[in-house]
Amino acid sequence: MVPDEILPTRARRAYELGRLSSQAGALLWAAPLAWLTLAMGHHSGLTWLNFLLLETAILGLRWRGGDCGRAVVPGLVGGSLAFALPLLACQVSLCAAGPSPRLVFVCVSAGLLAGAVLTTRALARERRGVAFVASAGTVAALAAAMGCAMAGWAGIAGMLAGLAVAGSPALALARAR
Amino acid sequence: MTGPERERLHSLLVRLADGDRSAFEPFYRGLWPLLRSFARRLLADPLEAEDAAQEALLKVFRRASQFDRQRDAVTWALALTAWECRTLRQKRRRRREHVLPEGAAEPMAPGADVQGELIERDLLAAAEACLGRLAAGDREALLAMLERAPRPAISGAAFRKRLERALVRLRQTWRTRYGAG
Repeated sequence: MVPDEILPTRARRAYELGRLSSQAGALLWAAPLAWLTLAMGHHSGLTWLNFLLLETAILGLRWRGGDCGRAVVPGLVGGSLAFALPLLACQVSLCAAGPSPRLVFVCVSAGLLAGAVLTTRALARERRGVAFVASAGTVAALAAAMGCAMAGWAGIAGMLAGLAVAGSPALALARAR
Repeated sequence: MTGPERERLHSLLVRLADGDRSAFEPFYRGLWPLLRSFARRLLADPLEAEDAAQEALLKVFRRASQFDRQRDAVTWALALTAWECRTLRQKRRRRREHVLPEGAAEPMAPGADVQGELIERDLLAAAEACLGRLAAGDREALLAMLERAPRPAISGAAFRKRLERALVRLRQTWRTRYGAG
């Protein structure tokens, strides 16, 4: 039997651990990205670093809950589209893997695409605040970076620039609410 | 529990399930006395009731994130408490069965002379052990004397002689195992 004074602490711990374990399944959502990366053969240490950061962000945001937790799926949707763009470009021989200007340009476009998806989702849900946009943007950036890592740091920087440009209306809208 | 109070707990649990930590404190304060009093109604022992209620409370919080909003929060929490009370009752029953070995005497009546009962049990166990070392014929005669077995189909005189020899051997066995007696 636990003394009454420490029961609230035990209850809080049970809640947080229960929350963490119940959200662990969300780690599988990013698995298709990892599988595609392996299948296409265009991956490096940078790709897997991004994947690790993405999984950490997904689990952390889902555990946090609220708007942060709800932002994971829209972020993954936008980020997955942006992830696929550089891979497709290389598959159809539009550009070769490596930090070429063409591939960096594709990554910028990928960032713009992810930002556009986020803005659309933010406009569709009127009550979404800054936490939602920021969380979705983080997830989208990390997912897209897995594909843009083919172009090295230049590709990732280009993607982030595109995401910031196309996603800023969503942030402005969230701040205005 | 009133309707508004019930609804308030339900909405707090829904917020908690969503990840709103500010709902934790009010939900805990509203739920804990409810579970405790419910467990006390189900279990006579107040300590057991406290144990069960605490386990149920921790379970409610552990599963809060998976709470189905379609259900009523109070009913759900009380169902978990009833389950914990039932589990505790079964555990206690199994432990009591385990402590008493097979063939052991029944539990003592309340107010019985505990020391006397224990001495009697020990003596009976010792006597049974000695009986086990005797020959089948001696055992049969002694048990028949104690009316625990049917009398062998022999004459009265023959039975008395057999009984006398069995008692001598029983005494010898007892002395060998336990010293003077």
